[in-house]
Amino acid sequence: MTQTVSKRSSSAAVHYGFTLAKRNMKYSILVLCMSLLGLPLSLIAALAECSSNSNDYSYLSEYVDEIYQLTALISAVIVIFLGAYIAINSFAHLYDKRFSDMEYSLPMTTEKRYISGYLSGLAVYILPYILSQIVSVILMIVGINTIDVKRDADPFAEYIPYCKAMIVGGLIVMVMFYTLFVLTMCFCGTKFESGIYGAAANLFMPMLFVCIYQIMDKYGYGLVYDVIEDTFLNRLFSFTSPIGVLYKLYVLVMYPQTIIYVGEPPAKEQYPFFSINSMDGWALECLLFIGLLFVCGLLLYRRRKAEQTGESFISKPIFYVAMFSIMAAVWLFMDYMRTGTAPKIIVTMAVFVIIDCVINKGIKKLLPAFVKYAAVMAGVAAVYFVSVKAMDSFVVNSVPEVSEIAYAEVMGYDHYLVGNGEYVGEYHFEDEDNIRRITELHAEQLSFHDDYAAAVLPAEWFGIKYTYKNGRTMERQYSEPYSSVYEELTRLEYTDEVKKQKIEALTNTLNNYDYTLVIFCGATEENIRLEPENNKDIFTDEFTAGLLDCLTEDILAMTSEDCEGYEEDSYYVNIYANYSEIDSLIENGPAYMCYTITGNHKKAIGYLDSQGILSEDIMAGVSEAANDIAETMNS
Amino acid sequence: MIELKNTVKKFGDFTALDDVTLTIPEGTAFGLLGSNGAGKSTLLRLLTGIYSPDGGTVELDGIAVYNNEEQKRRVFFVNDETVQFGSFTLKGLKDYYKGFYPNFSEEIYKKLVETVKLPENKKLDTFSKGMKRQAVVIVGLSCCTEYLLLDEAFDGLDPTMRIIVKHMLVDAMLDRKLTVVISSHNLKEINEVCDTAALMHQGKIIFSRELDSVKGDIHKIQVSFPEEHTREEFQCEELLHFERSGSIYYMIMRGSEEDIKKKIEPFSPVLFDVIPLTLEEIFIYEMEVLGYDANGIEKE
Repeated sequence: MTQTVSKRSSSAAVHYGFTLAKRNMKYSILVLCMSLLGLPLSLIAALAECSSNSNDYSYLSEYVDEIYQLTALISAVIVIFLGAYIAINSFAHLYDKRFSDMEYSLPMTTEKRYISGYLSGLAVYILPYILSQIVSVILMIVGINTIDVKRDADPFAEYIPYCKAMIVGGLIVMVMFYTLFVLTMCFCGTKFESGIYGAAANLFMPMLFVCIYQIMDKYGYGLVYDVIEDTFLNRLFSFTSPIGVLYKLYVLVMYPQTIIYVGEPPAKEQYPFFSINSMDGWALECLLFIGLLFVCGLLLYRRRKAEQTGESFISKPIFYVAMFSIMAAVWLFMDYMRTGTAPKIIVTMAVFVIIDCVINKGIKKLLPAFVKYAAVMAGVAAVYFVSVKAMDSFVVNSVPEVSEIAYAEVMGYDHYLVGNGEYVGEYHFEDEDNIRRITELHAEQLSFHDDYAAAVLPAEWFGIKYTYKNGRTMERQYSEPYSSVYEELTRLEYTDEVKKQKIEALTNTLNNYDYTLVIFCGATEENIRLEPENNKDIFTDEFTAGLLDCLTEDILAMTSEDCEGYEEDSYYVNIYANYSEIDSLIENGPAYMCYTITGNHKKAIGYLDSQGILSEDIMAGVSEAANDIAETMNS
Repeated sequence: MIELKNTVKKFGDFTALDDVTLTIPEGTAFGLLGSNGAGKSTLLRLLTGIYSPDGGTVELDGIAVYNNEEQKRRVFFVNDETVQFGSFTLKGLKDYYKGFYPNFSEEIYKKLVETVKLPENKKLDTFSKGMKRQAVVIVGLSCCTEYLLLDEAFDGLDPTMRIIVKHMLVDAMLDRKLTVVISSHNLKEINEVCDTAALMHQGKIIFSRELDSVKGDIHKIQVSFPEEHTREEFQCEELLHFERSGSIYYMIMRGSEEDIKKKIEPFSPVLFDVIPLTLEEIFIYEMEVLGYDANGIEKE
């Protein structure tokens, strides 16, 4: 009996889905046509490009190719927008009274009607697209096997990742766009209203990110910029709106090397975006967000009653929350675009009044709309002010208590921490006194906030990362240290903790790395001299052990006062580690610098001298290779 | 059995159904009478599960209808509007509803289509209003539900078709104990098809009784007295209407013939005749008491 009931109810839901699909069939055909003009067409152009028999494809001149790309783009935009129409049409009973009695009276639960309507519209929308993508894959396989491919072209390697990105990404954009419109449909009364709210919903997340980004950028003094960018722009933004998904697709297509990279993801600083390996995780995030939109739609749909057909289902709190968000987004976006106050007021007021009139279906309540606008803007200003103040007090100007911190790390160009200015140094402090000194210098840096005249080294930076005893971390970066902060940073370098770390790091590098070690010698950096072919002969195990002993002694004996004036010393020696051979060093430059032996490293300099490293023979032996290294270094 | 207990339905500030309690037994033909805006259509939509009650309950055999698939499968609702079916052909409409109602009978459908001779493959848009209604009634009857609810069922039907549709309904009631609820302004139709009726006004049920008892409970009398009398002299709860034409008095009164006679006897009538009342007259006089009469509305 239960089985029969369940079978009946599921068949009714399927039947309902099919009848809706029939209603949307013409849009489905349109999606198919437009999709076929999209990727398959651009693939024809791409395959033609790969063909060595270019005469056969001479008609595919550059401008024809451009037309193909343009057609593909326009058709893709049309395909996406058809999603809105299909969503609205699948839920016609929400705005068209003619359908409400007919569909609400059907023997189905509210939930099944929603799910069935949603899936039916979705199937009608995406199946033609999937079909067109199958066509494009077949086209590509057949095409590649029938054309003479240029020697240097590898269409599979080049276009399979591209196709994957386009198919998966395209589907995600479509499904998200469609779901967003279903959601807006659930609280709108008319097609027009759905269109307005759908557009607003699509723009809402991107604008919100711009706002957050802008507030943090403007007022988030010391907050780690990479975190903002990674968290908000490259991650959250890329899966929380169709525009964000398109942005990600754009990156994937514009930087194809990131998607054809099938091994390790590319280095972050190279392309901080995505590799083909990370697409699956991103797709999952997108699907989870779509799921969230779907559930929100269902909750709204369940609350909506048949008698509300054709009426806005926007209660006052929802209206004010939505308007607050839209107004804040518009205002801050314009602020980001450096627009003046008057245009901001005019634009926000116009947007508010238009939306309010649409919701109230007329201009009868024009005057109250202005009052509501004023109230909402007052709210926006208040929240903005409170947010900035709260961020200022609780985030920007917050320095943790020493007793709460397990350890602190200080990062920066080693200008302060090592004394060279070439690479980022990072030191770890667990000693309570040192942690106190760090919190004090942190507080001091904050007290100079906005006092640019007090900055000694503009365009330099240093960072502090606290790890609390409960595991939580707090990281700050400052683009310019102030004089007293700079001095304290230098002093920190000569604490026992740092000395120990320096020795450990140096020992580890010199003893354990398989890399080629290279010494550059000279009074200044510009005067670098070395016989590269002698390099291996110099770095024997005995030599390394002796150098390490001397450096250890120097480091332990050194004080911050010793460091002063080292630049005037006659010797200036850098030890570089390279990943492979000296040729690679010449070609690519050094991988990283292990240590700088300045003139105040008396023992080490003495040792180098005793080993003949600083002898006239070597110093004078300027080879071509060394010049190349110097050029690379300078560039 | 359909049961509404203290059912309330509101649309914003407007109360469409106000504390309605009503029982419709199985197998009856139930008529819903009432002025425009009385709440008849709202009541039917509540019975269909289109609307959810804001208060009280709407149940079929003790189980709520709203958002209950199984219960809704027992009901078919024929709306007063048919424009939504315009894009369907009759066959398409049949296929549409067949998917939702597993008891759909092709046999009944074919029989009914043959009876009314409607084209199956023409779009309903091309049909007249009456033909559309026939088409929907045919599909509704073919769904073989236990309850058939018709809103303004006979609207747009020509006299011949009215008879045919009435026969269809009566046959279905006899064949499979179908419970029919009809809302209509056409009291004659209700009178012919229904055995029980309820009168609604401003969201309330004024009465709900078997039609025979309704008719037996209100009488029009024609009396004459040796002396002149005013309405006030006869004023009582039972008096619905008072009219004088020369020496003849016409009164509509509630109650049995005997009771009315007892009330009039003290005035020593020289003439006392009982004139049969149509349902339409009963409706008009009942509504008049409630202040819903042409004169009253004009005065307003």
